[in-house]
Amino acid sequence: MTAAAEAAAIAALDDAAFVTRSYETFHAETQWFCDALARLPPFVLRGGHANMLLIELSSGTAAACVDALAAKGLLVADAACFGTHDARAAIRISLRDRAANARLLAELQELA
Amino acid sequence: MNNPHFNDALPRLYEAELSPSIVSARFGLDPAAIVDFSLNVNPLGPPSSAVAAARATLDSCNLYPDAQLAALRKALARRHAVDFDQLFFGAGLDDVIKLVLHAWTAEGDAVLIHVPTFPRYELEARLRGCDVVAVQADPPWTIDVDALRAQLASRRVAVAFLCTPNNPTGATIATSDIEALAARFRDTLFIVDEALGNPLDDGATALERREPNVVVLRTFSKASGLRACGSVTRSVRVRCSRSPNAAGRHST
Repeated sequence: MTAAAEAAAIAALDDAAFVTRSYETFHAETQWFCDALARLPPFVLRGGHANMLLIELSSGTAAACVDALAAKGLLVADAACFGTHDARAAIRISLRDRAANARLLAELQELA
Repeated sequence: MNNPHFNDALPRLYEAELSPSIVSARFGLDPAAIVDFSLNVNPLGPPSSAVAAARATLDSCNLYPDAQLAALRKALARRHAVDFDQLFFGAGLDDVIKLVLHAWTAEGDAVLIHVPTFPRYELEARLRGCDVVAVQADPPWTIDVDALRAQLASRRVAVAFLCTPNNPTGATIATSDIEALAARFRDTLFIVDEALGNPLDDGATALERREPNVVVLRTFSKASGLRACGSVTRSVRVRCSRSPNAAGRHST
């Protein structure tokens, strides 16, 4: 670890306000995104925490979904990487700012 | 490749399969227009306090850093009421997971995981030559503590990974359940990965003060927003009660 990284870590440790603001942002974006996602039947939310959502696909494969989104410049993780999930197709996403999240949602609507 | 455990059956790593540069080249996209939702980064960016603190060190960046990371160690020890030498730092939790596995397991040892979960545990355990025991709950986005307990009772398990909140499902394991498992299965090292937990919460760190076989992994890279400073800013707390090969006593 460099001295710069250590100094940054110590400063971050004392910055409880930033962590609180981060969680407020996570919760607000998660709420907004999940409310919109609930209107897209092919996508089922299976869990979320700390800015991370597991979304199950009721049709198609995760690989195809990942590929289609990548073609639009949006990278999401194929949840098959996380091990057995009853072979269910799922993707994992970590939300970004509202503009980016809206762009992802629009592409998911296209895929729905 | 000299490691006989390296083969095509190893878990895939999502971060190795997609990156803005790969996608940009493959689809002819402007890299600036690509948004990566696959990795968990803080949408607020890094905290300005951390950026300022890092900048303040740059005039002395010709010097070697403090190998003990004494200032950070003291700050974390004070924050979590643990001993100074219970702390261990790595180049990201991926690094820490590998080092702790190498310190606490031998080839052929059993390593317990619940699935689905962060693939790095299984990857590193298999590369180490360990037998991976995977437990899946029903439904699979939950964690079945009773099933974990049954596996622990049925064989000697060297290391058990408990990811809480679990990546990718968000499922959690109560600290009281972790404490009960650690108390009953003393020969097992429980590695509790709280990377996705709120760093302001105590979580399982309280257990490190009373359970000798619990290791808690924490990071600055999620809610604390420090991935921009490099993944080396993550930390792990280790109670080094299983010396002599206690890698946890040394920082990297």
